[in-house]
Amino acid sequence: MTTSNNSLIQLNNFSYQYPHTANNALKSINLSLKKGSFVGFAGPTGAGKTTLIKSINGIVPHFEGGTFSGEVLLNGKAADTMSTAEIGRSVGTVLDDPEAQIICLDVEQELVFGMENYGVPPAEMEQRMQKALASVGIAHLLGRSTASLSGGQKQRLAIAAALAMLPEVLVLDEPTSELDPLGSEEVFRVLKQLHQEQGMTILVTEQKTDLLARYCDQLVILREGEMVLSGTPREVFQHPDIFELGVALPEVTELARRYYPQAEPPITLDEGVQFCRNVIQTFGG
Amino acid sequence: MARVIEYIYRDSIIHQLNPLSKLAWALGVMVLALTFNDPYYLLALLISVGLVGLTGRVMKDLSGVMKGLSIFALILVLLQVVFYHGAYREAVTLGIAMGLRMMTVVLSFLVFLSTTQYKDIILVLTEKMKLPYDYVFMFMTSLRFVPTFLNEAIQVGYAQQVRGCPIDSGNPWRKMKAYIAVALPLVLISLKKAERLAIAMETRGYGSNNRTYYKEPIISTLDYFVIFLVVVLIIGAIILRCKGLGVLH
Repeated sequence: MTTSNNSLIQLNNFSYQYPHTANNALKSINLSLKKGSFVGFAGPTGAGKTTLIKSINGIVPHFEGGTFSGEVLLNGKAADTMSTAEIGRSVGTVLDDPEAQIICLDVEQELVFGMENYGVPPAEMEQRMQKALASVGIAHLLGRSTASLSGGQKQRLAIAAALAMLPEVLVLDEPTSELDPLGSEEVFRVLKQLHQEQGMTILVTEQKTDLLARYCDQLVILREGEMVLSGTPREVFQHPDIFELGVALPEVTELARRYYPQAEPPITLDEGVQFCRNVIQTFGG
Repeated sequence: MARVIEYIYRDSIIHQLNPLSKLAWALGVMVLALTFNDPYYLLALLISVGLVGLTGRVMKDLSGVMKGLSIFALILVLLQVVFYHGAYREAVTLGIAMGLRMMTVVLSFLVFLSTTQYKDIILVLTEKMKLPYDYVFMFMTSLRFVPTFLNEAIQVGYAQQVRGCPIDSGNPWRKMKAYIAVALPLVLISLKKAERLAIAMETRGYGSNNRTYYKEPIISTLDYFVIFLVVVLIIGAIILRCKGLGVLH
């Protein structure tokens, strides 16, 4: 086992097959992520996004079973030699369904659940809890029951619960799939803030590519278990093959690329507005 | 029924009591209810439980359940009257005693559950009574998911009804058969939910050693007093019973 060039997460030729299935869900993935990166994973359903996230937080193969080859290294240590609980100390997980990941009845208990499991001294819990809540902007919800929260608030609580365990990486599996546009924006703004202010490493799978375009530093496109594209969102959305990969482009990008294939496409709404101005000016002048 | 066993956020002496003393009280009430079969004794016991509920300010929330329970108690009386071999009077008395006993025991546990937070119950059962954490957590979590489960059942019921599945019509036998269409998806959904919950728990360190607890409920003088009182009452009840009081022959 080699400790390789200071990458926090490294996948070397990692392939994985779920039990009772014929095909590999992940095929020879090679990926190296440094501390402090904000990476988005996109791809059509069944591309292996969730499986990739699960192989980083140890649910694959520990919980799911199945067979794998290659290796996943966390801080240079092979993930399959650690238990899920052990991995959970450094990798915080947020799942897609806000309902299914809220374990406890009230906000306070939900936040301390992980800390209690890891034997954090009670005196320290209070402080960590406050910090985690403040990081996601829901400090005012401490006394509430979890059932009374909105979807966006629940997802932020799930993020806070993960943060309270002081992870090095936060992995999120389609955290906005059950949320409305406002709630989705809410979640990504929090992620961005964590990334900028605390240097948190963030890995997120997402269907809404306009969110990824605006917030991520790096974008990885998966298809049928393979990594087909990787780069900055701009590089990826400008790639000639992107239309064949079953990924929805941000609307502004798609529009611009369809009508002005030669021009450099915008990837955010603001850029789109600028793009339209330029187009109009060109015609007007 | 969905709200029956949920913790009710109120501020009262009963809420502040240590879960251990409340549990002792509920168990004590059960012992007392089983010791006697004189309706007057049982009625007194039921009233005392009701007073505790009132002190805990949860009786209003439990009144719906109490109505349901009294109907059930009435059925118990009727059953006794129909099937008891003996004098009519005796049957009625016995039926009333059974009904009261059932109501008392159920109400005392409802008061206990609605004034005590799950986390505190878990804590007391594992730390003080030394039951294994896994089992206690499993049990308490299953209780916590009852409302979710009932909600899910209603949803599935609607989904099947809009597809023309006759859930709310026909004779009981047909109804029961129609409910298979609800039960099967419900089981599948629950299994899926359980798996996701398990994943959420695993990724947050469930099952690693050396647990700590954030807040341990304190045992106050009042708690010692309550526990002492329960013990005295139980002993007193047994003495009375041995002397033949509170028992009908």
